[in-house]
Amino acid sequence: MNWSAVQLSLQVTAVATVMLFFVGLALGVLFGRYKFRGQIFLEIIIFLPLVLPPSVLGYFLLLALGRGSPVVEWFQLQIVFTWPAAAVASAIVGLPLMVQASRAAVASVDPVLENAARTLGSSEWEVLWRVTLPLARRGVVAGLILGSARALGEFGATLMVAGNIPGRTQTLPLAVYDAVQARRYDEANVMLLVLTSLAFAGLWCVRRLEQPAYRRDAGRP
Amino acid sequence: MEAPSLKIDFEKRLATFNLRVRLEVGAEILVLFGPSGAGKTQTLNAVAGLTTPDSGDISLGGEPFFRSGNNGHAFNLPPRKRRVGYVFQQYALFPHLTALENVAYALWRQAGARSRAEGLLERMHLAQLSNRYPHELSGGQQQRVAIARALAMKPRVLLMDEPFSALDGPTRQRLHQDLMKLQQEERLTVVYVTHNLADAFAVGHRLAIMREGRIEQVGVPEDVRRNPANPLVLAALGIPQKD
Repeated sequence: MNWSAVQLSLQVTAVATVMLFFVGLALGVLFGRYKFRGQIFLEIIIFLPLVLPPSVLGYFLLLALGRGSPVVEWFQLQIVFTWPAAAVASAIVGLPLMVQASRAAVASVDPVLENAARTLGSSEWEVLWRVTLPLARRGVVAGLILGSARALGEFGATLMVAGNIPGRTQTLPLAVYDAVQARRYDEANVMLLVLTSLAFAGLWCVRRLEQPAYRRDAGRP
Repeated sequence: MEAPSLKIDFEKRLATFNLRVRLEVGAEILVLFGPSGAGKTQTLNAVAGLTTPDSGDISLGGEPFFRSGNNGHAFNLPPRKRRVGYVFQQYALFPHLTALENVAYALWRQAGARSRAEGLLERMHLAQLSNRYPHELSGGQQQRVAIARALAMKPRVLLMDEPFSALDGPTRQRLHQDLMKLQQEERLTVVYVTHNLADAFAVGHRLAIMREGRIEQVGVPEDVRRNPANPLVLAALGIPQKD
């Protein structure tokens, strides 16, 4: 078993999940609650990783994070071919799933409940933290699990932007590729089992979260 | 101490008609009566600050809630600062909170929130059910929690939008009696919206008949019944026209 790949995959997925939570939730609330100019354009950009070839996405990321990019020139952040680049690539491919699920969850909260909170003295922030997000939490968590599962399985863009350096940037999906190429099928089988089990467990959780938390007559028309 | 009077005088363009409301409400239950789509809920929403009128003046005891100015600029107090209690038609209880937590919602920054919320639930005959979630309560119990929740913030005005329309007759009667008692004890200013004539006559100290965005007549219910101002009021009251 390639333990360094396991550790690296967990590290990359954990960091990607934190990014997904904050960025995805903010975008989910924005799209679920507000309409603004340029919204469709922004949504399409966020959803592009779902349909773009991974190599194209990886190349985009190389342009965005590589030499000559603002990230390097202004912030002196050189992350290409390091594990943080893999985390960024993973977060970007998981983002559409997180945004989609949290947007739907936020939009499904009955606006009358939010109005009730306003008349009870809540500011817009309080309405969000005390009513909207607690009621949308199942969808948000489901989106986070889906996004993280997708991040864990990320291959193509990671290969382009972080490389496939054993012990440094080689995550589980890349290690599976290497093992199959080198005909180390026993090792590949174990990693296959780990990745498939994690994906299965994630989707099982998502299915459980899709059950309604409250009965239909719970004070909501 | 006499309750400050609520002055409502505003205009708002709606898809089907122009809503034009002029009313003054004191420490009483004023029933806004009319068919569905007459603009009753919109009127409550304008008082609560949940919808913004195009022009006019809404104030409580001289304190402006909304005031339109020149050049389209308007003063508009946000709903959270109006201290207007609102009881919604579908209860609108927070499904993720227990009855007690719903009632204590507005008090979360205050000391003694729990005991005040418990006191209110007891007053609404719900002390035994404080730990239940809304879906574990009957319709009547849910609406009692909603009233307790609205009262928790010591509102200056209580707005009620078809509050008991989904309840059966006996439950409705009990809640009417409780509401009238509560109004007298607290000297509350209540605006009660309904399209049910029996409800209107059961609780209203005064009755405002509304049709297509206009107040057609305001008065003591019996006076309105005896002296309808025009054929629209006659029709609203279901009285057949002579001739």
